[in-house]
This record gives sequence, C-alpha cells and structure tokens, in this order.
Amino acid sequence: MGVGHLFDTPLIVAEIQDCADLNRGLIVAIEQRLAADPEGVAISNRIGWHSDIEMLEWAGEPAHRLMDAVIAIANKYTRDIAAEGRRRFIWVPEMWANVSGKGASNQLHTHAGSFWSAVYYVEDGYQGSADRALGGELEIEDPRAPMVNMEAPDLRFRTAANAAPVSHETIIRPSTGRLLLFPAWLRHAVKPYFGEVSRVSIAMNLTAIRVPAKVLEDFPHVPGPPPGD
Amino acid sequence: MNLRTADRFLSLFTTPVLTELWPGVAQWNQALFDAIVARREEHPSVSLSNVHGWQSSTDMLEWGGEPAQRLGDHVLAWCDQHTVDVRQTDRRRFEWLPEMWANINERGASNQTHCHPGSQWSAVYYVADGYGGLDDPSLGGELVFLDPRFPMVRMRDPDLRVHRPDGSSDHQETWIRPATGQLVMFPAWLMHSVRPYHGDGLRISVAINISSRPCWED
Repeated sequence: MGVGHLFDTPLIVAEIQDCADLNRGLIVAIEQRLAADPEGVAISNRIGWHSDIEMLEWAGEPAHRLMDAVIAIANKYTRDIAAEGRRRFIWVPEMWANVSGKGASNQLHTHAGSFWSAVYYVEDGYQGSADRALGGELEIEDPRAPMVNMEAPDLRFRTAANAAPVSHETIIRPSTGRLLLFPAWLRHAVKPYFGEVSRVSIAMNLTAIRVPAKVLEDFPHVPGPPPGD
Repeated sequence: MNLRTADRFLSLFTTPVLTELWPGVAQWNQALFDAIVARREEHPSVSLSNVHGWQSSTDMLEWGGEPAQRLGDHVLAWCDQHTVDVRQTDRRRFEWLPEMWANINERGASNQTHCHPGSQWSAVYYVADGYGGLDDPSLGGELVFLDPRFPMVRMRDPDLRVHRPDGSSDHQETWIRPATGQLVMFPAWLMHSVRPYHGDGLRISVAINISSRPCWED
C-alpha cells in the first residue's frame, strides 16, 4: 500500500438487471409470510415488519437466486490471504424481509459476527417520485466518527485541491432492483420513511466459517471466499 | 438461471496520507541541517515518543531561522489545499497554529505508536534520511501508519480481506521509507510510529503539528 487516500471502507452498489420476475416471486413469498407471522421480530426496526431470519427456508427459489447473486459479488471482492491456494472458509448466509409502512425506520446498528451485510430493494415505495420528503434513505456512518471531526467540526478534508469537502456519512436513496453490500461492522441506519406504498426490502448477512479441508473436499460446491493475495 | 448484475465498488471514508518533495529542498535543506545539528550541541533532548535519539523543543519556528519558516509556510499552504471550512462564507474563519520540532536519530532509534491530539494535521519533513543512498530494507526507519479502523476491521476474520477492483487487498498498515527532501502530511489523529533505524548516517527529521483556531476579529 502506498500513499494517497487510504484505508477505504467499501460500499458495493449493484443493480439486478430484469428484476421484475425476481421481485414478483419475492413479494408473493413475503406476503404469505407476513400473513402467517404478522408479529415478526423486533430488533432495529421501528414500526415496520421484520421477518424471522430464516427467509432462505420459507421463500424458495427467488430467495436463493438473490443469495447466489450476493455471494457472487462477495466472492469477487473478498480474498482469504492466508489460504495458500486452497479454500478454507464457507459462507453461512442469513436472510430476512422488512416491510416498512409510513413512519418506519431502523436505528443505527451493525451486524457483529458477520463479514458482509447486504440489502436488496424489492419495492422502494417511491412510486417514481424523486421527492426527498419521502425519506427512507440508508445512512452509513463514517467508521472514524466522531474523531475525524473532533478538532474542528467545520474543517473537512478534500481529496484534491479545489475538490468538494469529504462527507462523514453516505446517504443512499433506495431504488427497486438495487443491491448494496458493505462490511458487517459498518454502522448504518434507515431514516424514517414517509411513502404511501409499503417499502419492501431484504437484508442479508454473510458469515464466514472456517471448515476442515475434508468438508470442502466432500462438498466442493458450498460457496465461500476464494484464496488469493 | 443466474441473475445478471452490474456493480460498482465505491471507496468511502478514506484517510489522507500525502507526500511530496519539498520544493525548497535545494535552497534550504543544508541550512536546515546545520541549524538542527547546532541546536543539539547546546540543548538536551526532550523525551516523548522517541526511543533513543534527540528531540528538540517545539519552538523550532523561533530558533530555526528562515529555513524553518520557509518550510512552515509551505506546509501551511499545503494544509489549505487539503482542508475546507464547510461553513465559510466571505472571509476566512480559521487560522493555522503550527508547532515545529526537530529529531535526530542514530542507529537503534525508533518512535512508539502515537498520534497528536489537539491538532488538525501533522507533517514530517526529512532533512536527511540517513540511508547514504542505499536501498537496503534492513536499514529500517520506515514511517508506519495504522488503519484508523483497526482492530475492528480484522476482528472477526483476520485473514479475509476486501479485494479491490485494482487487485489490491486491504491491509491495516502502510509503510513509507523516507527520502531526503520528502514531506509527508496526515491527520493528527492517525496513529503512527517509526520502525527502528539501523543506518550509520544521521537521520534528521522535522515534525510539524498544525492546529486550527478561530480568526479573531480586529
């Protein structure tokens, strides 16, 4: 690693092409589950419905297709640098659904124990409107906060002479078909959502588990982070 | 059938570790060298993060003469380039307050991991790298910066690393092998250290802390 702008925190922004079929399948499964388990669970969600984390069990093929896409992206951007050419880890996935009505939000939280966290927007709820008053943005906090602002809160770095000042939070406005991946330790929240149509999103965690070499010989197709530098 | 996806990898919340050759090196470096060596003859070392080695008091802008002032002016201009006051309107609201000191390290000297609370930027200038033109890594003396997210970023799976689109993997340290005339600048809160220096020559560096304060009305 040289000099420059270092120690970056990754955010992967992906779009799923032709997501209409996938989203229809996901909506059907989520509506059935919501009817069967209207209580859901209460964790970082405020007001909205949060399913249990067994969505890969109850949502069938569309859920597995989505998870396969998440794992493909995770593998593209992860390496086991001590693997010596031989895979050592598998991914243990978790998936749950969120249905957020007017006023719903998620408090600032992390996903301790996992490596990647992901969110997929099945229905952004905005009905094509660009009105920022509808809220519901994902907010990602600078992992160095508040230290980075402590000496003089109004003084900010810029990455080049005359460039705009850097920001210590990243705001992402959801859009249907968009998939985001970020480190599980990164603090994030969802601002209150004020749309008329329910927002439907899917949250996922990938936890890396080291398994004996024999297991990977017997089950070579179980996905996991590849070896590399 | 697999879903088709298109993705972008964004690098967020980066920490600046900037380096350049001081444009004043040809004109002022020898005078700076002489001023620091002369100062050591008359003043004992202070003891802070330095292990062995001589460290001056922090008023080098007073005793270092014109070469020190030229270096300080250049560093403050560099701070201006890389800092924005996000609430500034028509007139400048902050001014820089620099502190400067000199270090002379001989064989075996190092600096423990530390940072500079209370300042905005820290900088170091290498008056003499001490390597005598050799590129032998066993001479040590590298400046080491630690990832501000450490150890969290390694806590769960130390061997699993984010792999960037340019093919590099995430590492929690960056090492700089100093060179005579080189300036390095970084946020004052960034933890850093100096590896033990094993060269035969004198390693001479100038450290500068830059804090900010509101401009006072006339």
